[in-house]
Amino acid sequence: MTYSAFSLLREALRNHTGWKPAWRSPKPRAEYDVIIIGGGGHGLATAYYLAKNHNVGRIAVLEKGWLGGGNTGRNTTVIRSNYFYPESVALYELSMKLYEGLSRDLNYNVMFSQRGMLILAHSQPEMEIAARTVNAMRLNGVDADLLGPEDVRKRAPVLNFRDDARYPIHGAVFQGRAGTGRHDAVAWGYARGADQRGVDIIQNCEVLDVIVEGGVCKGVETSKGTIRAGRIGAAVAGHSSALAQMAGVSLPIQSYALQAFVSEPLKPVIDTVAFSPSAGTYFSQSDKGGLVIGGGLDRVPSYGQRGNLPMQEAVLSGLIEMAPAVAKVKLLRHWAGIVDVTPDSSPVIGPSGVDGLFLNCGWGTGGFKAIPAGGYLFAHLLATGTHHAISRPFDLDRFRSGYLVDEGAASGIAH
Amino acid sequence: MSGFRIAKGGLINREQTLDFTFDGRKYQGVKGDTLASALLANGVRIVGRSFKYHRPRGVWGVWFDDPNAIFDLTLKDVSLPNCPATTTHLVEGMSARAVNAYPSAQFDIKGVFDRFHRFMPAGFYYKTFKWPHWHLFEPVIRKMAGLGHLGSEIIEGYQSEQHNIRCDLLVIGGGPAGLAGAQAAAQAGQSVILVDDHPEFGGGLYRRSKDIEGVKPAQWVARQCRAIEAAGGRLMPATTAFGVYDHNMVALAQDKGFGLAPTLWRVRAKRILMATGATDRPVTFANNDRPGVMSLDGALEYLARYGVLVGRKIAVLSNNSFVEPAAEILRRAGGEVRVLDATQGQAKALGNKVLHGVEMNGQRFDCDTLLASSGLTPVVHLWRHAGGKLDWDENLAAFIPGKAPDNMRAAGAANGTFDLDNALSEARAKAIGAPVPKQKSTYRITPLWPKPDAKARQWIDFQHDVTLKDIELAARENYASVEHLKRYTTLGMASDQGKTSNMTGLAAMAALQGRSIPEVGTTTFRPPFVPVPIGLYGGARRGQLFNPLKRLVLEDRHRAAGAALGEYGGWLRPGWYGARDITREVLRARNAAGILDASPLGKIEVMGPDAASFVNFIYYNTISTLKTGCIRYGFMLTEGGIVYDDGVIARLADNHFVISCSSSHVESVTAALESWRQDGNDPDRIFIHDCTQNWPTVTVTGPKAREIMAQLDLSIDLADFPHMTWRETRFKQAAARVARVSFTGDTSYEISVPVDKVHALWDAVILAGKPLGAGPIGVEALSVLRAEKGYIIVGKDTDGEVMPHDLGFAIPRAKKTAAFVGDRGLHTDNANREDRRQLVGLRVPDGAVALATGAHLVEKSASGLHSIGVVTSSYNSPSIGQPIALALVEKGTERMGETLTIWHMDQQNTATVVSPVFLDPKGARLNAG
Amino acid sequence: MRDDSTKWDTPLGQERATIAGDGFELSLIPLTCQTLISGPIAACLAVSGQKQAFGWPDIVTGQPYALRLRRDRLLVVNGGQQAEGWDERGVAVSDMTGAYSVIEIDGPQAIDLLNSGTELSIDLPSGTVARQFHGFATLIYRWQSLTCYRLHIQRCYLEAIWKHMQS
Repeated sequence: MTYSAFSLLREALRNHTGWKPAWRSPKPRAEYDVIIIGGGGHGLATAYYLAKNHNVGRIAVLEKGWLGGGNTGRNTTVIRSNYFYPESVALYELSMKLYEGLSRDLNYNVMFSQRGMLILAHSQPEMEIAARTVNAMRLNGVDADLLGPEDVRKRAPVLNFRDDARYPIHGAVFQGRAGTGRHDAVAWGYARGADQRGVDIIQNCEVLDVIVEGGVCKGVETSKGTIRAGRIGAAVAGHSSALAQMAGVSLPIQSYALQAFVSEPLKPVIDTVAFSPSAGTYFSQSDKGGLVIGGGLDRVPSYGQRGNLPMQEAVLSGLIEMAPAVAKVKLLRHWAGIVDVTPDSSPVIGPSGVDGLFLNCGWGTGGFKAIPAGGYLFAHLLATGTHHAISRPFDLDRFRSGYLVDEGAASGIAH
Repeated sequence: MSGFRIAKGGLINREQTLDFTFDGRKYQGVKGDTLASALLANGVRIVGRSFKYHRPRGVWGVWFDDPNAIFDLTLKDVSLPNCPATTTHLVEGMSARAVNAYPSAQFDIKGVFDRFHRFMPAGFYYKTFKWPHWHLFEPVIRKMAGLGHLGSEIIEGYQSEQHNIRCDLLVIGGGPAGLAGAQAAAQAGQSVILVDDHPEFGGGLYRRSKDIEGVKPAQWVARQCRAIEAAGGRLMPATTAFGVYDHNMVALAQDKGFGLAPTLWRVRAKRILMATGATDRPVTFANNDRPGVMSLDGALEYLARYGVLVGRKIAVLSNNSFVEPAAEILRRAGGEVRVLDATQGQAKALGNKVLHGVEMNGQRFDCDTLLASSGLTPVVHLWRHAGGKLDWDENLAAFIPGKAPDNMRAAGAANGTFDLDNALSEARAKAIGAPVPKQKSTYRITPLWPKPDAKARQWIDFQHDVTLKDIELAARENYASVEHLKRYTTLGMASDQGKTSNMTGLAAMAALQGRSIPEVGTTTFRPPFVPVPIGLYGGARRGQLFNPLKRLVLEDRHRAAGAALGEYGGWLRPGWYGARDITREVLRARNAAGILDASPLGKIEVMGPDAASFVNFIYYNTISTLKTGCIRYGFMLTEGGIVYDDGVIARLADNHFVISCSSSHVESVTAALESWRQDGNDPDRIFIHDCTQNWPTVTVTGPKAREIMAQLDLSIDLADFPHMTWRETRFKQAAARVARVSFTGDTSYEISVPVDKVHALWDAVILAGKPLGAGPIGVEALSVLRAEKGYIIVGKDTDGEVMPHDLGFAIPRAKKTAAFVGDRGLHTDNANREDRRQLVGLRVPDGAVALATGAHLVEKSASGLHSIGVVTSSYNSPSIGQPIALALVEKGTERMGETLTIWHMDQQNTATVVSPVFLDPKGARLNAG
Repeated sequence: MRDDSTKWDTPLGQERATIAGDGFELSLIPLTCQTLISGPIAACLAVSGQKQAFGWPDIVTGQPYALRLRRDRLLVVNGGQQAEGWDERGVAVSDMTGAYSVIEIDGPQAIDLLNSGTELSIDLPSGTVARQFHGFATLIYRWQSLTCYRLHIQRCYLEAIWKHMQS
């Protein structure tokens, strides 16, 4: 059933009784061609592209809780491709381009708002790094501008232009096409799209063990029984190490809590995404009016999905430095996800080392923006057994060959 | 008019009247009023509009349980957005405006939206606004969204105090249970803190009770408070416990008054007693969002605390045993009360803008107020923050605290104990860890949950306009889990954080799906319990106190000399002196001598019998062969082989080294050294002392440096002091250390003396230098001087990829056999690539300007231009007489003499690859004298 | 680069006025002799000539006195100059006289002032006097009386800490 203004109108007159379920709640079958473990954005997008681009027949997504309930439902919704290395640019640009057409493609409004992102520079050396980044982006064909302080002030007057600012604004890297999206809608849109193409999304189904026979991964043991598959892809941010261990694979991943915050809703205060590496904080304003705020990781590795006061104080102090006027705005809620951090702050996409089991993980603090690309590339890998050119540099073997894609500087915040 | 002030009663002072305005009209309240109670006393019925449909809203609750009365408040020149009228106490001169309503709550022009509610069910924006583009609709939607208005003005001094405090028992909630528990524990000798979010203790005690333990409520409360304080307990009124965190940490926000940031108290409590009470659940019935429909318990509280009777003709709609006593109280206060049993049929509120009656089972009753309660919901948020579980109690029809977190207990209404006597004995027992006596509850309730399929709309979330039909829609579309329900409909995500909507919402979903309420479960409870200002978290960390800079001992001398001070590597250092003329300072250093405060340079001492083998392991270079009294330049690498820091290391003795690392890296290098010390070594044979702060340093650099040194009375034979050696001597009867190292390419001496001698040293050097044309130079000049010699700055001329062989230091990689940090990383495929970026110098064509730092070097390929390198440093060089630059370029060392294309912001130039050593490549100046 | 001279308060000198607060007084103590000694603690004590190294909440008395920083480290205050470097008795010695500024806080409310920057309680003993205070690495100990405390902070952060206390 198509979503459109017309169908909305029609249903309005029928008391909305005609809407169909966005996805079914099927029972799992005994066997599939591909199982995807993890019903977050990446897992659901993978299932969608497997069905759509590769015509794979029997696909299941197994989700321990409710779909989209992991990091996809907990992030600060920023979408950008302002990265330094060409490999990263290719990856995040693919994602950006898919995001740009996503609402139409999925027939579900993900509310991708390309209102731009500012990465502030607070000193001459930072402006030099900004120039380096802008040049790199432009050479890679990605939109980027180097703004001076007046242009930044015009774009975001709420930022700190006071004389006593700890970090005066010299300028910023600005990517106009960057912005935010409605995170739940991305998960729900992919879920509905995948379901419409016959994918079984099995919620409340926890994978308890991975079945490896003769060195080949053949299926999984779950809380809803044994399910076998030809290929298995794991996209379980926050639990990648634990899941890989089930198959005897050790990953160079540490998991940390990453907190995010939202304020009470306000009339428009800022129209763009603003990030200050010096303050250690970034924020934007959602379409409902709340300021959505993020910062760095809680220092102690944990699976707790909650953070503590010291990091909250650090991030919010940073916000007050960035925009002193918001000190009187009230915080409504904070929460946390668990992010998997790799040594070079770049994801892992590729075979696990155990035949039949493939990995899409290690996205650290940057998984949401990459959902379409992650899904697209992982689908390619699961369907063909080989890398798409864009995912090749992110294979696990780079930790042996030394070809790291170290975006530590680019993501700025945590890694 | 409906509400009015009764003649007597309440915790208010009728003598002290306070003037205020709401939506432009003048009103009067009294001391002790909240804005809500004052408006109710004035008979104001419409105080706001709902978020989506802009339907009129009246006050529902009495404290944090109200989702409707939210104002932008101004007092004198301070404006605050989104102030809840029910928890904001009235101050003379306040000016309030309903948020998101124009021109007023009474006459909002967007009220017309309600006519189109059919087209705006839950989640409608996911189904449309896709074509042509979301951007077409978004600006309009953003303007309509949001509640309060944030002005750009900054409240000067809006800064929260923050304190840490400990106690044996933290009692949260100062109602009867909390007061009783706190007293019991205090008198048992525990250190007790009792917090309550009201300015007066007593909680819900005033609402229902004629007397308690033989005295009137106010007297009883006073008695308890006195007893608690007498026993050493601490009372904290007007303080909200808003979050429980790991390791028994509870965060409190202490109200300081309007316009002032609350104080943050971080309480480390050995044990916590949660006595936070319970609030009414609304009844879900047709048109239940009409202004005039209010919480039953809330109405009793308005009467008891604020002396306000919320209506004259009152209907009470409920399902539990609190109803009759409540009706009696309202009658005694002068209300005409009719009780309706909500379980006996479907009610419907009547009235267009405001309530004027209720219809039930075919009968109509006039009323101006309808007090609804479908039962009490214990306030369990903090329990859940702490990881406690909830149990579903069928008899109470509520979630009550279940499996306790370690060290936390609940008592009173928060624990589902609604009888006063039971609450007191329960609290007294739990406060001291005694067994709780068995108790019988007199509370009776017939479960009453939302019934789907009624014709008229029934509200679940008043602020976000989520109705039962929306929940039906969510169920129909399979957004069935409680989290999906919440996010899809936005129920519970308003500024009241679901306090009045979560229970009814999940009960509705349970009914729709034929599941039990506990099966559906609750959404995650997260701090803060009520919204708290962001400033609370910031404390004093603003301006100079946010990431404060390190300060030099000689800062006073620099200021006196007219230095421009700037942030360099975490320190406040002189950038230049006097009017900015970097050229002048560079030439001064090249022709005479520059005098520089080099104190930030790290001085990390490594001592012990294994110190030599340790530093040999830490460094890329071989250090074990370094002789005593000598200095060597070296790199520290990451385990991946990347250059982490560069600097010099001096050997003072067999067992004693001083590492002089970059000034911005001192803490991290010290930490890395400590980490390696403890990993695979005998820690009693290696010790690491960061002595950076103990040895301020003055550097004299230039052709006349030695002449200046000769006048300093340092007792060093300058004729026998080669480059890269170290002397220990005395200056003014104190120890002094002199290193002959250079970051400029000229003869340089770094003189380190104790803190109490450095002013004398600086003055002596300046004095000696003056007649020779020497003088102070800042960091800017130093950056140029070092670049002229091709000396790198780590982090500027290196990045996350550069390895030592990229910088021309390839020998240890090939020859060093002893193990060292980073060795393995230096032999990966990546490390062996032929096209690695290498450090080179760049020369621009004659007459061209200096290159931009951050410009890329590019090459043409089939797909266009691609980057083969980046300009890392670029200056006008006074010593060379033309612009110079350093860059990292693929295969750089093979490209000497090649002209390459420079690309910067779409502009192209050219530059020629040259050696990075622009000045004195043979090092004659370095070794002079 | 910017000239930030006006954005940072001019440093007060060694002779700076006492801060009189609500229930406490805060003063800067003139430079004492401070020596850092690392090694097995018995050896450190032997070299320093001290019988004990104080922790928290010991009330420190005596001149000189030794503070316990770590399992294998102490700081001797007012102990006179020591030869720096590796001592064959198995310890490493460094002068730290200029490295730490020493602030004395005295008064019934002094402990509350300290609790604005760290969690500190007489009931919570600790072998070391090292603590984070307002995010800075410091040493905090009781000095001579029930209401007096000393705080050692790295000299480069003295201005920042002083400003914190003033606000």
